[in-house]
Amino acid sequence: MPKVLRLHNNGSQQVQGWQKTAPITSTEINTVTDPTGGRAKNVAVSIPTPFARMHLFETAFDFLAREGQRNPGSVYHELVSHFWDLFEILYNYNLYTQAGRKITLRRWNVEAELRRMQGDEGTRLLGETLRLFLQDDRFRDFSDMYLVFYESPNMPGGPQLLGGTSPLTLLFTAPAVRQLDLERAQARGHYFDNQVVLLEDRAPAFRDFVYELFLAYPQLQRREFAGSVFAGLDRNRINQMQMQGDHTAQQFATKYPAIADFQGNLASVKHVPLPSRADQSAVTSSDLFIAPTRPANQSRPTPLVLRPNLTMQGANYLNGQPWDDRTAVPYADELTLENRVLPGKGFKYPYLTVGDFLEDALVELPYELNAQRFHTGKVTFQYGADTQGRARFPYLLPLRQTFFEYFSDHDLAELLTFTIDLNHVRIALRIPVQGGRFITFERSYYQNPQNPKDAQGREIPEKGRIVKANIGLGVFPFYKMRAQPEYNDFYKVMLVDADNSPTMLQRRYDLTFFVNGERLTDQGAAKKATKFERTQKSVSTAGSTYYEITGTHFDLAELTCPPAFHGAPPARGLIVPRWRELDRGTRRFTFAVDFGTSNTHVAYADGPSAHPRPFTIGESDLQMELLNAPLPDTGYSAYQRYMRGPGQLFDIPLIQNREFVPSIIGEAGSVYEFPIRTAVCETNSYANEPSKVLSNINIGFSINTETGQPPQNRFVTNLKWSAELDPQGVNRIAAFFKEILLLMKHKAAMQGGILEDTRVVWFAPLSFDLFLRNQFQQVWDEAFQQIFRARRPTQCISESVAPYYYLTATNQVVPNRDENVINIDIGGGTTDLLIFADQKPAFSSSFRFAGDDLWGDGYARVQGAPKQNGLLRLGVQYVESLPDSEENQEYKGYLRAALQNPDFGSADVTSLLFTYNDALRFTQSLGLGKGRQLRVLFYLHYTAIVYHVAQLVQHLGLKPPRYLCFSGKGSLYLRLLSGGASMAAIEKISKAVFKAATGQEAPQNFRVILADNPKEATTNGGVLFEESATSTADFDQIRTVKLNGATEGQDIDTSRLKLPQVDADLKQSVIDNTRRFLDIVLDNDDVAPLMREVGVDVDRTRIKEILLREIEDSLNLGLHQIGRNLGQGETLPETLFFYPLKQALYNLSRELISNG
Amino acid sequence: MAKLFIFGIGGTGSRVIRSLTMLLASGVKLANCDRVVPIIIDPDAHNGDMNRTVDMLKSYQQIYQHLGPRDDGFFQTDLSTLSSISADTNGGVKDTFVFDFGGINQSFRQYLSYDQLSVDSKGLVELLFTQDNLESPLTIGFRGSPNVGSIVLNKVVESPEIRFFADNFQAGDRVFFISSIFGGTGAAGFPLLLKNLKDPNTRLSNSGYLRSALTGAVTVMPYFALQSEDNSVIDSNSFLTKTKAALSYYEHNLQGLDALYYLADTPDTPYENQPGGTAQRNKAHLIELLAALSVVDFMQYSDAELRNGAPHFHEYGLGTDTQDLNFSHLPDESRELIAKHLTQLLYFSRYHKQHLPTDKAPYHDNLNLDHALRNEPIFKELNNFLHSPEYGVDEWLKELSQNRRSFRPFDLTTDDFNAMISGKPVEKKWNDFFNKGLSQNYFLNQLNDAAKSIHEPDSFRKLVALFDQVTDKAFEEKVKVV
Repeated sequence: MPKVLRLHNNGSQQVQGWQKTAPITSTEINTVTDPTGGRAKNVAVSIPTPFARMHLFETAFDFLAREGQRNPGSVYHELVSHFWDLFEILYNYNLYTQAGRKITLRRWNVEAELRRMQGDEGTRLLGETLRLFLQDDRFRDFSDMYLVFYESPNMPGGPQLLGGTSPLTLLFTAPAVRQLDLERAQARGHYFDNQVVLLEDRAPAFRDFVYELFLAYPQLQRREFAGSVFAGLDRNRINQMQMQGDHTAQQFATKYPAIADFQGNLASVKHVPLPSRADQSAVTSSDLFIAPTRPANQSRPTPLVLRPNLTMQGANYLNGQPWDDRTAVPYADELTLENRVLPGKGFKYPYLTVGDFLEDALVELPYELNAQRFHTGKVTFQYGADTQGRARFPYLLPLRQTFFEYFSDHDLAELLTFTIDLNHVRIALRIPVQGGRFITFERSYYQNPQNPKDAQGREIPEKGRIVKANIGLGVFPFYKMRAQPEYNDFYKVMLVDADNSPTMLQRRYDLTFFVNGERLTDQGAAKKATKFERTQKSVSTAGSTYYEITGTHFDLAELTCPPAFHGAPPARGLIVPRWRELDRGTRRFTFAVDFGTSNTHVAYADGPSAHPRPFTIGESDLQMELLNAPLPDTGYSAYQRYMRGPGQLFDIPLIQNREFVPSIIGEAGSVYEFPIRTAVCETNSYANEPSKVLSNINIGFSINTETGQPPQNRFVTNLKWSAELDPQGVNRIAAFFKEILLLMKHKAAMQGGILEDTRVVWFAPLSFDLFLRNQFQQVWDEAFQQIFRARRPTQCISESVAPYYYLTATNQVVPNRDENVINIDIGGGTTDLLIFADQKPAFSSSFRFAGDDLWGDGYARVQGAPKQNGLLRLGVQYVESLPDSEENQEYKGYLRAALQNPDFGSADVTSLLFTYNDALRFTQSLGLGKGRQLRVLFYLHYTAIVYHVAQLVQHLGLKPPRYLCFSGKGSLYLRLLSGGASMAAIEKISKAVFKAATGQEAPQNFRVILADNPKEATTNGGVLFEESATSTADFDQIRTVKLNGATEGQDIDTSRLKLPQVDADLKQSVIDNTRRFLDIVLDNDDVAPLMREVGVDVDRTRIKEILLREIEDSLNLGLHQIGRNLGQGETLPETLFFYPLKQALYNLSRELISNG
Repeated sequence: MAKLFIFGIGGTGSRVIRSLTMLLASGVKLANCDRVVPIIIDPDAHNGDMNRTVDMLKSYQQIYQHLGPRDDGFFQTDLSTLSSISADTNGGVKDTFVFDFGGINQSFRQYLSYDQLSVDSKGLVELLFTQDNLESPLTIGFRGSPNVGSIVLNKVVESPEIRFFADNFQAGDRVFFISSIFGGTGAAGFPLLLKNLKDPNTRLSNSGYLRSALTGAVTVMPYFALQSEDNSVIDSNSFLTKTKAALSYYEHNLQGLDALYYLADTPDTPYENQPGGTAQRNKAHLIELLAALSVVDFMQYSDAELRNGAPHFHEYGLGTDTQDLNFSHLPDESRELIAKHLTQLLYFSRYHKQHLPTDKAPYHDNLNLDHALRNEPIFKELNNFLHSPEYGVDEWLKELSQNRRSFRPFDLTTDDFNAMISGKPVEKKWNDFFNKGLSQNYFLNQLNDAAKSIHEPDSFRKLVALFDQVTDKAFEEKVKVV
């Protein structure tokens, strides 16, 4: 039997001696039986080229293609497996290059490196040999080789060489490659271990990538390039993919961009770019994906939820790899989410752990949380923890804002549970993951937790600590519009920092706000949050900070507590409001604002037919909510319950009412009610700062409730006329208006108003010139349009018309056609007359002789005057004589404080006396003893006005009026004068004065009407005023008349009377007129005796003496006063008639109270 | 005058050249060339196989130089060292056939001047070579690492010998490579040298001639197994794995070759496992003889035949698959080529050893053999060539017979010339008393007769011519055919 001396079994057996046969090709090599089954090591070295290692991979692919099934454990299997490992690592280049791991490509440029080697004698041989072999066809175009290095903190010894690029198989691995600390995808061991994981056992995405690569670059399929690799691919699949469409290099490159080497060169092999996956969504499936209730951000991968000691046997950790209960998960990961490395996996993928959602500290408040208004989650009390009185819940949410990037506040009730135990509080936060499962994050908080430490001595925060925060917080307003988010604008948050122990003075609490997972900063464009530190805390007072959120509401506020000592981590807690959620309203609100010199009133109606009501804030429409719960309803008024909610932290209500907004106004026993003092409370430095309402300036609601000089703030009154005087005057007025408008907006919103249809009416006194009126109009319109987002302007009505309108609309005044009506509106500083003829306003006049001339300090307009007004002294003496009671104690305190307040004048303090009349019984004092003497002031004040009116009527040639109507807060003294509701005595006096002054008889049915609520008459009239019903043109035709005040009165405007023309004669004539007036009211037998009918009991002669002594000085003072503000060419603004009386009456009051 | 340059690379190269030398000594003709220049390349200066081959070649050359060119007979082929073919004797080209690596007592890493490489090139080296490759000392070969060899051996190209080879290369000269595909030196050296010779950018002279020179090669695949020892460097168990890997490389990477001879056998008797050094001295093997025949075969093709349709691939077929071969098991062609010549050489050697020193006969006196055998160096050289226990013909034949597959064409134990050819005893005719077949007397008579007819003044040349003629006649008359 012949024998061919060969290893293979192919080919002719008919060979005798040396005979030509065929070359031994892979076909023949296939048939060579290897007794070791290809298990021999060091095969690489048997290929006679320096590039043996590269060829070996080709051999390996060939081997697998022909006998992979027969010899499953061969050395070639391992090589091919490592080949795919390297390929997969490069494919996941972006994913694995992280967390201290580095995959670096270094270029080995053939030409440059060979030249360098050949240039050195020692390395010349290597260079020449490599050059010789690189001349082979198969290395053509292989101008650069890229070496792949891997570096990991877990693998000492610096960068490891994994492999390189090859013109034969695209890639090959280094002989010395070690097992990496990187797990293969799908948990098939670690890269470069000795497991055989062929392409078909790898992730589908990677397989797709390989197939696409070979289709996109068909040259790879050629035998002389990577044909051996291609031969191992599934032909059916290739065909299928080819039929499905073109696979271009361009398409491929967009999906799989080339990797750059460490110098930024794009790596390629024979013009084929070395690709990797662009996106990072390597994790395709997991049971531990978070299941958020908020729409997820599609551009970011969904994080997994893990925690220490997570037991989830059988759960799909990722991509089908099961969760291993032993996987160590940290409590907190310092890396940002996108830089995190999955525990046990070693590659970058975001996951969430306890520290992401639960804070290290639990913030405890010194009072019960207002759970009605702020979220708490579920709260349970362990047995024993709720026995000391009622169960109290004083905690902020120890959640991190991150939680709300995935969930909304509505989920809290279901996901968050507080369990309050005797010595600790346990928080359980259930995080929904896939398949309806939850992973519960738990943490217990102790006063002094003991935590284990790690190797570096850092504490492992298993247990949290409880941190006390002495703060108060108020949010204004407390609602959000569901359908009209544009109205969710301008929220103000007050933070009161009452942690004012000496060590804490330099450390501040702070708030950060978030909406829709986005942090609001002061840099925002549409949405932002700005901060204003108003009152600095000191040992004696709490501090206050105001945050303004514009352009949006906020979902949550994060409180940062200052650390108790330097270097300690700050504690944080979340405040999550349960907003009142409002829908679009249905009612049309009208508000009218009477911005008076001393008082401001606001009335409103919620429909055309509704009766105007004073503006109030009650428990049902609270605009401002505090973090603390109000006291439970235990017999206190709502006002008291809200005031006392903060418990021991008295500073909270103090600062709230002073700098912010009272909880309750005009209802439920509140000391705050409209009309309010026209005052602002502002920072001492307000004049030097940009005006920011509710930050450095606000309506001075508390002006009459301060028991002391407010720290770092001051009250400013007399706003109305300050526009002309003070550069900050307009700003103050604007701030005042703005806050009023905010209050109105919130009222309307919470009462179902259509905000954009809200009507706002305000009043201009007749004494406003057009410029002032326009200035006010502009301030009102701007604020109104901004706050109500309305396009219409506010409506301005003449101050004097409104009461008349109110009186006629409510049928208090019913004039006939030929009857005149005179409305006299007595304000704090100004009295406005409006004379109606033929039911139309025909004439008007205005003069500065009003309430303040009774209650004020005469011409001593400088604030902080010694408050010597006799009526005030009378009241103060009386109050001091009252026995102290629990009720009046507080108000006595307010009174004393007001008296000491340098910013206050007599009128301010008197206003307080009236406000607390119930307790202090000021009006009572006016009918007793000295009070009966001082009443003469009311009498003189009133009759002076009537005398002037009479002269005016005579001057105009009109019939005496049928009605004399009084409105304005200043007119309230008429009620004091009359001693009751009946105006009969006053009517008598009025008629007598009229007759004595003009010689004309008033009509038989002459009536003096004092509006039910004189101060409200204006605003109510404004509310009821309808543009359509009354032609505004009527009001434009009113003629202003100003008598000069002389005996034979002349119209100032007609005579163009200017200050220099007020000569001795004119002054004498004015004095003469005053004397005549005094003669009538103090001596005339038809008039003077009527004094008794209004309870005035004085020595008339003495009074007259005093007055006659004063009137000339008084006139000169008055002229001097207007001279300061009046230009040379300007006509006089008002009658001179009252000037002799103003200071005279004041001095009279002082004389009466001090003597006898 | 066409030359054949034979590169015998590594241990296999040495051993095949040994067999080839035996064939040439026996009178086997190499066609198409006038001179054979063997160049043995082995970096292992102490390799036993190589050293005895070199000694034998030196011996052959001395004998040939004494005998001079002839058309027929023993030692007819001019087997020359490189230096002998050059007129230049400045000593640059050594007279030995060994490429001397000048005592490489370095690790491969040092040899590459690794430390001087750039960072990236260091990376490349780490990528291409194993730690074992890099750390092994080069003194004991390449430890079965042709990839290392492919670099180290490239040094050869710079040697004066190779430059000299190229300088003397002429149009019409042929090149033949002998190497084994497994193991170390040969596997690496063959493709490397081929590449260098055919490299269009080579710095060797006569590169045009070199590139167009007809080039053949025999690549010997595993035919023996080494005794496996734990941690032995040369792991014969991996021979086949490595062979397959290398064959895959050959398939696409042997540019410029005109004829390739594949030879292999199933390994059987394990060799003692010695990685290089003097201990590596393996018994001569049939496969080596057959490989030597591939040179003969290659030379039998004319230039035109070789160029037409190159490369040509050849395999060897035995007539019978047996573990003990004699001439009858060889295919006819081979048998015809070598049987007679080897038989003549055997007769020469046996007679030379057993009878020549003691013969008292006219031819003996005529040649003054008593004196010559004892005193003349060339006679001593012949003695060495035939009987040296290191490299002599007797030893070679013995080794062939002792190996597996064994080649025992002769019964080396008998003194009876009639019984020397295995399985083919010379027929003696018992009815013819005078015809006793082959006996000492037969040779004696023939020698005496021939001594008269050959007119050759040089006694050594005459002695060789005598035995040429006598053994030829003996074979033709008595053996006739094997």
